[in-house]
Amino acid sequence: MLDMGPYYITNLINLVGPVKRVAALAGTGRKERVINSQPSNPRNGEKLKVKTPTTYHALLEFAQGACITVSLSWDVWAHKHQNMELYGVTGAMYVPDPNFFGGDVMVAGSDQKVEAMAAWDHPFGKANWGPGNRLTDPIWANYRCAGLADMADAIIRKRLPRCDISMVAHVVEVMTAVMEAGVARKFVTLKSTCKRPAPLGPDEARALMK
Amino acid sequence: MSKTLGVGIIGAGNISWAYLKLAPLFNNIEVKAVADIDMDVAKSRAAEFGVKAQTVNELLNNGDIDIVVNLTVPAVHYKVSKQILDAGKHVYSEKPLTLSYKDALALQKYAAKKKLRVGAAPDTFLGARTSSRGKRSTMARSARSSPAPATSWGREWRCGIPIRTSSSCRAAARCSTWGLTTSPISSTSWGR
Repeated sequence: MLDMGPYYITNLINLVGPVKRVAALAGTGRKERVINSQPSNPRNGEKLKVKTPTTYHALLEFAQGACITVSLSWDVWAHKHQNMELYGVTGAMYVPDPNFFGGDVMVAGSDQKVEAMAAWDHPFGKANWGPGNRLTDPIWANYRCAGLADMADAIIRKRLPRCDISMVAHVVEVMTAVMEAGVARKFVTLKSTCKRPAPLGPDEARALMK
Repeated sequence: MSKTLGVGIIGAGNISWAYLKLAPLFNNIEVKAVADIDMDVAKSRAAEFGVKAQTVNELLNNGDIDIVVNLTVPAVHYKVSKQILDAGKHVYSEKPLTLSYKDALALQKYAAKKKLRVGAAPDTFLGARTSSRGKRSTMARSARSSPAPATSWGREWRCGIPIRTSSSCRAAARCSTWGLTTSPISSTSWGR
């Protein structure tokens, strides 16, 4: 939740706005885990006892009325769901992996045909990042530091940064409320709220870049 | 010519590579120095990108630095971010900002008092597909205006652990990209 959750929760708040209330069920899929992220880690192969939930099934009720199911798990080897799907009155929208900056947004209307939306000419959409931190054969768009550069611009121009703590504190409350709700198996009403961050259009993004 | 702010990085683990590699794409930030509780790690990362390696205290007192990027392990995010504010510098933290809402709120209030900015990752929502004005509004309009359902599925399978953690908590620790946040934190260390 605290590792991958920020990508998903922040993206949902960016799209839908602040969260009002959450409910969740938490579970632990394995009693033990083996450290395996990097073979070069001196502790690679070591076993760890799991002392925290590793799966959360959550319901997020947004201030504007939307009700969104969020599942975050460390117990799933693979799934065939989209990373994020939004179902509206006039259609459905499939949002790409919130861990990266690019990817196709797919939409379906009342005809139920799923099609890619025409991509914007946005500098952060260009693939520049390959597996294993290689810059050759890029398959993902990775523009980490965009939030930092936006904050630098905000400091210079005395405006609110898009990744400002006023939003991030709300993200932290949503995540920890889901964790609390999941363990206690209850609804939790949030104390905080936030504004949706201003969009960063292609021209605004270009203005931050060399 | 736009103004450039000096950036210092605390925590020379995995993700510092991405920050150092990608920062030069932007015209208003310049990484001046890297610090880590392990000076050798700071030195080798700094040498790779031609920036200065400093101790945490040197970096916090470096007059060329306006914003400090906190890339330490999540367990010390709050502590290190507060130290950065104490040094009179703006904070940009890796996710999660803090492990509790209480700490997030305390940091927010402290930054306001000090008239400094705190920002945090992820910034991926600023990407091409969800931040663009037209696209985002089309996308979110109907979901926002009705209680229609939506789903979001996240999953992770890698198990990582910080190679080195801070014993005194005074300084920063290295952070393995997929570290600490999931299993080694006891159920009592997070909360609202």
